[in-house]
Amino acid sequence: MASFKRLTVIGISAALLAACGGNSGGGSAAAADSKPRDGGTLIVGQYQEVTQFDPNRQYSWETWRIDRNIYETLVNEDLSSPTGVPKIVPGLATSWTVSPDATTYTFTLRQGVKFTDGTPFDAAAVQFNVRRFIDPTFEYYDKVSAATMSLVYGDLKSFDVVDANTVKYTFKHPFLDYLRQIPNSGNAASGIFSPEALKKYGQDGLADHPVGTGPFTFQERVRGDHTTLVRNADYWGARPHLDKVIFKPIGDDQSRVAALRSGAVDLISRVPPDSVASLEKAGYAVPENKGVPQIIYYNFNYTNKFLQNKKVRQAIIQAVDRKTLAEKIYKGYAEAATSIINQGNEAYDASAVDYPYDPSAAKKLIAEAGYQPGQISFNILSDTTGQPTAEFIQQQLKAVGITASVQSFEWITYGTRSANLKPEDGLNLGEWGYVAPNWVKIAHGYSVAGRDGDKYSDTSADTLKAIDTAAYNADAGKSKELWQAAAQSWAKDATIFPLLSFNRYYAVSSRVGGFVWPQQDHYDLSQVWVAD
Amino acid sequence: MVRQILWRLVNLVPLLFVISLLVFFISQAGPADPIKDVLSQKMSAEQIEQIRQAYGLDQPAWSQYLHWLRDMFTNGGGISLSVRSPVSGIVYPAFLNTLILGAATVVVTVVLGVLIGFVSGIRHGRLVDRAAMLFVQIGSNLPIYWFGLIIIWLTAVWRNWLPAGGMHDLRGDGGFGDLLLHLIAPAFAASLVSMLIVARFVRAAVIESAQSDYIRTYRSQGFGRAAILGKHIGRNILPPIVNTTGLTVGSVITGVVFVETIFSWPGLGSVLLNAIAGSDYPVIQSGILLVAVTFVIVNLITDVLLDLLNPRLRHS
Repeated sequence: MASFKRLTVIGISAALLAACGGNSGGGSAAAADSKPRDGGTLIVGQYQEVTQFDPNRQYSWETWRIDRNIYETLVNEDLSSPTGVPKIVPGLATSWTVSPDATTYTFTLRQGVKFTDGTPFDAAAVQFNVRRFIDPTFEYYDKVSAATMSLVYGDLKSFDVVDANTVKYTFKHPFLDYLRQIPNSGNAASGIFSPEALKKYGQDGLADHPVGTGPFTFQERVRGDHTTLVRNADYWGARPHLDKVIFKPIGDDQSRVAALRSGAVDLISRVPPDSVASLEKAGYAVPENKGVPQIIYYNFNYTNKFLQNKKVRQAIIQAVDRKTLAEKIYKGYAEAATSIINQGNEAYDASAVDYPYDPSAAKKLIAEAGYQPGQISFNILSDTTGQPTAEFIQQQLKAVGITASVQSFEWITYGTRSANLKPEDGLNLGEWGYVAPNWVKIAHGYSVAGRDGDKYSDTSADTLKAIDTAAYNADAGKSKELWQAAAQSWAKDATIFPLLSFNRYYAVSSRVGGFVWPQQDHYDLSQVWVAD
Repeated sequence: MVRQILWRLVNLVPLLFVISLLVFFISQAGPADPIKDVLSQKMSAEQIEQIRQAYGLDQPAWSQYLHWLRDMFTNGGGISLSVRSPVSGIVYPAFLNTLILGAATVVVTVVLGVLIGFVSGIRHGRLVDRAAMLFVQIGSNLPIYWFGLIIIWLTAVWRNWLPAGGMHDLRGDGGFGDLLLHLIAPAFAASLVSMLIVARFVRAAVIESAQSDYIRTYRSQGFGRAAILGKHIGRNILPPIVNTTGLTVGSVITGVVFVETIFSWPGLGSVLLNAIAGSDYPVIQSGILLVAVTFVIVNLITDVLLDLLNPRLRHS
């Protein structure tokens, strides 16, 4: 209830602000239309404190948005276009070949590249990186990294150094999405670190002394306050425009918006839907992206006795009008989702449907499951940003005779609470997604298989088979179709509840030029500039 | 006097020991699992067990406690589970920032609280008093979260007078003046409730002593108004000021944690929130222990000050 009070006061403060009129906008000098300028400092307001700058141990998107400037990956994505699946382009590898069965990836490494500590980047450095998370006999093997990296490298059979500038990864099964997974990570990041830095600072030391080859170099991190990167003067690629980038965590939504509007920061992530219109009116850019890899969905909790019944889960999905949710609660800045394959995914299919909105069918299902109206009750767990969504769903469930109570928490606390579900919990919010279609397998593993959810559906054996078929398929031409079939099969199990994709995420001051929100969960800062 | 203070200091040792036990075992009693929280996805039971062993979490609780106690003295609190770096490097700088904000908050609390209380006390029943008491009524019921946001919107967004948050200007070079500028709004927001409590106590004390017999006697003997106010009423209300200020330090600390979130102040509040969410025991334990020690020390200082100010307490 405390959080309800909180939301009310946010409403009042927003209203008061509107009455105040607000400051006259996004900074005095406009850079958006001007020519790129070298120099200057960009300040980014992030919605979370970052985890740690060890690529193999880090998790969270906000962390990767910093780390990817320090560490580079063998292949990269061209993030300069706001629409379309980003093209895979050379990174620390200049070229690569994939075996016809998609199990073996051979990379030719870029020559003459140095880590920012002056040591050379070569096949030995890549080998050191990979052995750290796959080879228990290696002096610098790290269990924590091994566990995190298994998300992408769990099926890696062997790694070989072919010559000083060539490396080869061999997987046990075909892995078509590997190239896409390399630059695409909130966790299990494939960024290459300097082996000398790890030796010097130790297994735990890399986190605070990151050394890579990227366009920016780590300068300092003051925990809870800021992280500063400076331009890498010896960068092998195009010269970054900015001299310095500072990332500052501002966890509170309204404070983050206020920091942008006062000019303290130039760019923020996770814009509250309520603030989109007022920010645009005040001269800030809030770019729209209809190809976001992220999707907002609910997980079912299978330790809850009601939700072990497939009919009840199906009734929940049919009771909620996702279109109205996107229009009313997200003010139209979102697109309803009826499949776990998100808008920005390579296998996105706009026509995919799970169970359509039909409250009377929902009521019938509940009766068939043997429950009277009012008998089914559970908690909906959400972070505070998702609370209006949870309350909307609560209302819609009430209409079909399901009693849900909403519990919402600050984002960080929510993370713990949702990792420790109790039997009375029913639904919990998820926000994730990738460009690579094997997101379906990752999501299914996390939301269903990892929670023993496949025990509670008569069709789950078909789904597991369809997912494996898609995951181990070597024919790129068939990939999209197979993943769509897997997602369709999964939808029938009613073991995941997709809601929508949120199409406004960043807000940018007019001081900033060249900022693009690509079809990715991160952005490229190397070609961004700021006005004087 | 010195002996009394020394005796109290000696008494702190068993107290701190009990606190350390409580802090350690209560934080361990939580339902969360640090390993699951830190690396929640895609791990086999075997992998989880391996990591648990690597972090020493498979040891019995008492052994973990002794280990932690040893770490507190020799190793700055051990190593954080979630970020794998020394706890001291995480907790101490944040605690220092919280102390800075806390100290500024106490200063604002005392100065404004006494000012409001004193003025409305000597103007008892007049317009100034009524206006002040209305302000106190409304103010002490305002949620800090809301109040903080309104201050930010008014002073940083609507008018560009003060920074919107943080401890220093990220574009500038910092410096003491910059820090003071950044302290104004959060210290004011954090002090609101306790400031108004102090104001009420001071007002009541002023009214009480103004109506007491000895003041009437002074007045009848022709003592000047200034002398009576400053020397007699002023001195008599000192103990309640110290007492309530000491007591409100507790609410100041909890208030500061809230205010830190709104004003993006890099203090212990956000560190503890993160640590609790991630079940990062070593960080939680060191952080809470520091807060507990601060409480104890503030209490000690309050007691000593009261003894000094009030001869009756000293002799009994």
